[in-house]
Amino acid sequence: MDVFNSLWLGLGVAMQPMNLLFCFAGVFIGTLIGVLPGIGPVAAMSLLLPITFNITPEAAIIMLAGIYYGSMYGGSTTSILVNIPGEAASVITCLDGYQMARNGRAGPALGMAAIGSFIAGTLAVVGLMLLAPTLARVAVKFGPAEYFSLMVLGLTILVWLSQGSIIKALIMACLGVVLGLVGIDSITAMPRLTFDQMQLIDGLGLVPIVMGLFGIAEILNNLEQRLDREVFQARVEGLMPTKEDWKRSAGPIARGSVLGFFLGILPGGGAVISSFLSYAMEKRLSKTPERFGKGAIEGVAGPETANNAAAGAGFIPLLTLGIPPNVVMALLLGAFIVHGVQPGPLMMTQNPQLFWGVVASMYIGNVMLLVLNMPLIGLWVQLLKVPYKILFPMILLFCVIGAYSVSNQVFDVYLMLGFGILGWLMKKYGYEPAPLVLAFVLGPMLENNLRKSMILSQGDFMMFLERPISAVCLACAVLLLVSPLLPIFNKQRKQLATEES
Amino acid sequence: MRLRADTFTALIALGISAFILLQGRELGLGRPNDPGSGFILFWTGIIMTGLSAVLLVQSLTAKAEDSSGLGDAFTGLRWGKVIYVVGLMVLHSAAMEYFGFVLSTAVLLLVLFKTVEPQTWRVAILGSALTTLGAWGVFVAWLGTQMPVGSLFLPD
Repeated sequence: MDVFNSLWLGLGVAMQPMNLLFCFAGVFIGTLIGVLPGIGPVAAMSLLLPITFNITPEAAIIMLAGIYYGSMYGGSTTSILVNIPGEAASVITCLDGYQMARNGRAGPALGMAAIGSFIAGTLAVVGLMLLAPTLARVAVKFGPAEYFSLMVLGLTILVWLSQGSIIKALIMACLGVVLGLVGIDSITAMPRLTFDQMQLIDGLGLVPIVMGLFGIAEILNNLEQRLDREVFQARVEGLMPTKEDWKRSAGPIARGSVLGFFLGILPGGGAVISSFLSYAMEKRLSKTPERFGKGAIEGVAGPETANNAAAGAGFIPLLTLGIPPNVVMALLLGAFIVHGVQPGPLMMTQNPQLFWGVVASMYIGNVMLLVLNMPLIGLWVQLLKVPYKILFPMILLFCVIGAYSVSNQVFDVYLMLGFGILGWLMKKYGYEPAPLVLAFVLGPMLENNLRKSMILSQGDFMMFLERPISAVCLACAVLLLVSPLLPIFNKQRKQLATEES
Repeated sequence: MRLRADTFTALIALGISAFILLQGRELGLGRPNDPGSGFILFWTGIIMTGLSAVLLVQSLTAKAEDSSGLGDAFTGLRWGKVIYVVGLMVLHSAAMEYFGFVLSTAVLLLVLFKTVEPQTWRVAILGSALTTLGAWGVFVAWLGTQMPVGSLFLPD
């Protein structure tokens, strides 16, 4: 089946009324989450994961994917109007977006962010559609050694990009692996780290951990300080950019799409890093770099395009290799597994409706986002005026519902609160939650592939170095880990990490 | 002498690492051609111990002005509110199974609205009632999420 036939099949799935409804719900909730500071796509997706148990896998993944790329759209609104990024990938948009709003050009800034996001989102889906089948064909040849080494590389990149201490990020990754192994050993059926507690036999739940570390911890951090935010008061009108705006933005949109797409495929915080690199690149390429930071539309168009392209490209490693490149994709992997689907190279042949349905829904979702964002900006502005002191009890409540509904156990709510406190303390002492969560998801897969490799190679560790792909991945991981010892690389890493922070 | 934050966290990490390492050994390492249940745990524990030791040494050898104290992260912040809210959440979780989702949640929200960032009684009562009913309507009635009814309200 060629790509276009497959896409046609996918469109048939995505256009089913129920899937359209869930796609709309996903992008709407995603935009809402993006607009509201204090709750990000990770917390929102983990909150809504349990309610997808009762719907089809297609509808569930379409909705959860919609939340992710929808949040990328919504994040720019707060950056431009309030100077507070709705989520991390929109931090850089504050610089020029807010200045444009102050100069009375909030409309074109919001308009260009939405249009650029639409173009990049659509191009990323085209790239995903064209690249995924090729990558999946290559990935079929991967054995456990390759998978193990790829996961090690993925975790290493995420650790390398962590702000601050690599040692602390590595400790978090180790802790994540251990937490992922709690429960019954899938090979020997021996309980591990369960302390004779029945609730731990099936292992720790992903949702309570993610909601604790990202949702509850964020609320606790916000509660400690007074969050006074000032919403841009002038009326937002004239969303369509001028001819001059288009002329200035065409290049940044094209470059941002390509840059974001390729960075999005790599493990680590693709969307965040790509937006910063796009900004830096546009500033360097500009003939008038002094305009940046004072309301240059290129500073909005480039980063907003790049983060949406990266969000779309992040699906490639998950759908073709079954390896999540970031925390959001780790949650999606959890959703796939809950619905009895194993993402990976065989997914396209074993579950073509699901694979192509999700891809096609992303085209539709991008159109919905464009239609939704342009006229509804007034609504989002009104929402921003809801004080945090009114919002936070509601977010807390949603977290409780999300954690409880996974397995209908109060234990999971306690677990979430425990990880919430841990996340709050971790932030204070410079420990990041992302390596922990990604390692938590990858831990069991990592162990499984390592043990399979060892059995296949009769206990010969050289297997990892004798297979070329595995050797390259491990070599890259080692290089990344030793690079901070070299001052020039350490400087670059810190620069990237600071940008991400 | 002021306890440095990194020294403290490194010591905690060392303790956790040692525990993981011992658990891994207890579960059994197996053989190289057939790794046991504790194989990964043991080696992860070893790596974590090494990393924690490096962090400990780094924290002890860092200049005083480059390192923060254990309590510095709390200075000037309203951390009492955090403990208060977490305490309320724990109470809510405990009460939910006995009093049910609706009643315990309405009370929790009322207390949160009224005490954390004090609102007027009108806002607090309306906010808690509407949020509870809205959450119940969307999650329980519409999406079919099962939340505790409360053993108090169950027939004997």
